[in-house]
Amino acid sequence: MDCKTSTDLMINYIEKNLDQRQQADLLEHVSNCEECGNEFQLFLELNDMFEELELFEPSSNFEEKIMDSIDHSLYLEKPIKRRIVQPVFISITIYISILLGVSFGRESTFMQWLIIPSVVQQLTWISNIAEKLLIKLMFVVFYTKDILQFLFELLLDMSFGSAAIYGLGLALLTALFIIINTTLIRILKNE
Amino acid sequence: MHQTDIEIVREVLKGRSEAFRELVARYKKAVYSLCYRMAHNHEEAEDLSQEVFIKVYQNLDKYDQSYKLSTWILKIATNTTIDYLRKKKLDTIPLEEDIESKQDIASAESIFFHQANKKVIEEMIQGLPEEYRLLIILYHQQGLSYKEIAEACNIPMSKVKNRLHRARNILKDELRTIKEEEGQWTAKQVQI
Repeated sequence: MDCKTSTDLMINYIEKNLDQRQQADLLEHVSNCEECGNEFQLFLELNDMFEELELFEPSSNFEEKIMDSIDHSLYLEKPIKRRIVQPVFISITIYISILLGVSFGRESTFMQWLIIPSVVQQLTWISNIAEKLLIKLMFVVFYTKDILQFLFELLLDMSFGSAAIYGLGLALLTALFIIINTTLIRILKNE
Repeated sequence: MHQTDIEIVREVLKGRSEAFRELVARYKKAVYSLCYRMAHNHEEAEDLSQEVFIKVYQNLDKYDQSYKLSTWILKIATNTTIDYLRKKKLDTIPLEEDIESKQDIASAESIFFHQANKKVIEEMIQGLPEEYRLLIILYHQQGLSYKEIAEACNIPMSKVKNRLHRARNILKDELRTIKEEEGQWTAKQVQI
């Protein structure tokens, strides 16, 4: 083994990356070559010093400081159901309770039972409003459907369709070139 | 019951922020040691370490669980300390000056050299250029593999190997100089 090879192997020896044969060759060389022997000794000593590198400890209240600095609500998230359904349910309950409570205070027992149709009437009124909103929403959906249908018929038209296809092809090709260019630049920079 | 890092991360992401304290306890020494060896100042190292853990917490939802958490945390620590040093524009001592100061150290402490090893290696590491210093700390103190260092520092593995190799050669040459100076000093003392 020559001195250059032995120098290259010294680090691998310290990192325990040598097989038995290589180890034996290296140890034989360093025992016979004074210069390489000294070099090897220095590496071993350096490695011992590395192993004595200690970990330092921060201040005793370090963890408290961190816990005081972070936003504890960052990862708290109420599920959608609780956000919407719960308030709506509570509101309806309160509304019905108020209706019943006000009515019970004024009427006789028999008349109190007549409150129920009044409550049903109120609920029917609410459901009518909900139905109207739903119809408006369906209108928006159908309107969107008409627009999409129009665009589709436009694309089927030969001259416009061809121009659109050519334009789309050109855009895709340009995007592909940009991606390849950016990737190559990134690879070259890393090397 | 000992929880794994991944289990703790999942707890935190479910909204149980108190679980993050355990992660801080596990990695505070590693992060602080890295910051201190790069900044070489206890107060600044403490501030940097706090910044690191706050970033870890804020970006926990972006952590890719296919990588080791320790590597990911050290990556954030690495980037934070490098940014800090660049902003502060700390200059490392040029190698020639560093050798002279090492000679002074060797002269004063040569009799107790084996006890002063710790101080010597610390100061030798401080004298390295910051990119070499960082790799020495990550490999020899934090025990990261070449692959993990490459991920933490966002450089190719081949560069990690080359730079570590060069850093060790620099340190080895410095150690040789110190020992030679120690030998000269001891010889002088004997003559006296």
